[in-house]
Amino acid sequence: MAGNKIKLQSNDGDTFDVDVEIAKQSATIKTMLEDLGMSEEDDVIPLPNVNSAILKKVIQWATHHKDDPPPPEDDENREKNLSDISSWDQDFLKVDQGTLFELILAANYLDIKGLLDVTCKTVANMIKGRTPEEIRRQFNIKNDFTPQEEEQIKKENEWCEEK
Amino acid sequence: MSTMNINLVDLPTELFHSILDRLDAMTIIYTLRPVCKRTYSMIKSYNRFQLIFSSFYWSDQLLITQKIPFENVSSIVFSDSDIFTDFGIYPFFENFDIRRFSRLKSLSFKVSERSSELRSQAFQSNILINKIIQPVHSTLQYLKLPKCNYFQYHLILRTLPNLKTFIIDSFQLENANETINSVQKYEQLTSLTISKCNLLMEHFRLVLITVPSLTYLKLMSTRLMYGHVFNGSFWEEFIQIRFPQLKTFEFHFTYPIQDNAIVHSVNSIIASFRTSFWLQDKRWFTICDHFIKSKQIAVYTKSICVNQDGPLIRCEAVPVSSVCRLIENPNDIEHKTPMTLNFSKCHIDEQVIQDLADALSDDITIKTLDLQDSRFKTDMLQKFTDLLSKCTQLTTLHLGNNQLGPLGVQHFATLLQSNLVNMIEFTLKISYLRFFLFRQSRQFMFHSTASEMTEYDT
Repeated sequence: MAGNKIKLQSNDGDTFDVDVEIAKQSATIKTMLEDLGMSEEDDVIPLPNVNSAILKKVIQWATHHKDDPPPPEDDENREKNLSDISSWDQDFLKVDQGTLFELILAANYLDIKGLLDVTCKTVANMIKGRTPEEIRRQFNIKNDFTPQEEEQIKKENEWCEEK
Repeated sequence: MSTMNINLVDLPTELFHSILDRLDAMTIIYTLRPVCKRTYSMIKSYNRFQLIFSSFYWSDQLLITQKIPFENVSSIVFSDSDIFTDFGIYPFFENFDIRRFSRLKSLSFKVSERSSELRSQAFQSNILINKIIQPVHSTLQYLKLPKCNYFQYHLILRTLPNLKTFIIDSFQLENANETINSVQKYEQLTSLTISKCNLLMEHFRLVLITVPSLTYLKLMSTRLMYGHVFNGSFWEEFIQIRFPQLKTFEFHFTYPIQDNAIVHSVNSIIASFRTSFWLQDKRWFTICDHFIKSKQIAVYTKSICVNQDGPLIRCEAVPVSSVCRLIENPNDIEHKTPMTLNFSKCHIDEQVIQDLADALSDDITIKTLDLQDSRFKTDMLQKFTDLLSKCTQLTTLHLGNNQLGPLGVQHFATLLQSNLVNMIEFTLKISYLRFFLFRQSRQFMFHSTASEMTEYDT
């Protein structure tokens, strides 16, 4: 099996030759190959939800993690430890926020649990320990509450702010 | 790079919730919910809150349960807090009815090493099981405990019919006889992690066979005796017979080499992990390290992160062909073959020599080898000098503070005469004698710190 390649096509038309074992980290692609009987050699697998730049990053991540064991199946019961991001993944995810969120969308569409986990943890780390205003600045989010709504939320959080 | 300019609040609710899964309830309610209307509404539909009760804000977490419905809490973490008092965990639970969390799936207890032994005694008591775990027995799927003995292990698995994941930081067996008659099986458990366990292999095996439906198994253990856990063939047979559904097996076993005890070479240990079962069928890739300074053998799966200082001799069982090699710094990702090796103050015994022989068989880059204070034994010297004769690039050898004796010096002299290297310089301290040899010029210089004696043989 080692060395067999498949072609993955991004939504902007670029085609990438990828080792089958690397591509199969995506449960979506694995299902296409196994259940839909797509041949590995000839067919091009179109990925309409992923652009070329993001697909390239996803392939880079999957290549680095090709020998990783599969993550535990019961996602909900997985450890929520935010500090266990490997130094390679930390470097890999030093990207602009748009790219980070596109990687989350791509990991979800391609069903790559490990990539989804590490990208979500990275965003969670960006949120943790900040105030609401800092989060707005960090992610460029507009405060669209009306003054009345804001007053209501302040009341809801009152006991906390009194501390 | 991004062309779509996606923002946090543009994510679909399902993915936003995936990020919330990595945050505690305090952060979600008090810092993320007031950010904007979109975060507020997405959090309103979230029902997998995690409460963390730690010493700093456990009372806040109790208050937060007034802000979110109890049934929307799926996970509670008790983290090294005041609830683990010297009187156990009871005072906290006088005001805390865990039964209100009707959809609680995950329960974790974490005690840091700085916690007193007395506090951790709380986990030795079955009251923990009766007062906290039992009331949520029907919903609990995930349990993490800092300590668990064999009796509690069975009690918990009997009590929790839906437990899927069980993580035990330290597993203890108080009475070896209690395992003998145990034939009970707990089919509900699919994931087991034991991070610290010194059970004998036979007891280890008896613990594991109680949970035959495992798809995930992680074991970490320092072994007092070298044995089956380092043998890939043992695990292969054991897993094939007992765990047909196992998809992921991660492990880290270490063995501190006892004085004069010889175990298998890293090459021969890793050979048992190179079968098609490991490499093709399961794709579980294994590493064996011999840490020279700490005198430890470690066998572990590639996914496990190991923090140990080099130098070490490493052999890997991976799909591509891999040779035994020397690594100066295991934290260096590239693992470049070193040109200088510092084995100063390492105990060079037969175990080291046999592994060095494998590591150097293919290596021609070592130029400098520091073996000062390596406590050579006389009977090791010939094997060692035979080994060094393979290092064709070696130019500098430091041998200070070693009790070599006349025979040892003779072995090194023989090595130098047969070696093709242009120049070898080495320093010996034998009864305060320092010895330099320049082979190319056929000069031998002996320096004594006492007499400053110098001899030239031209």
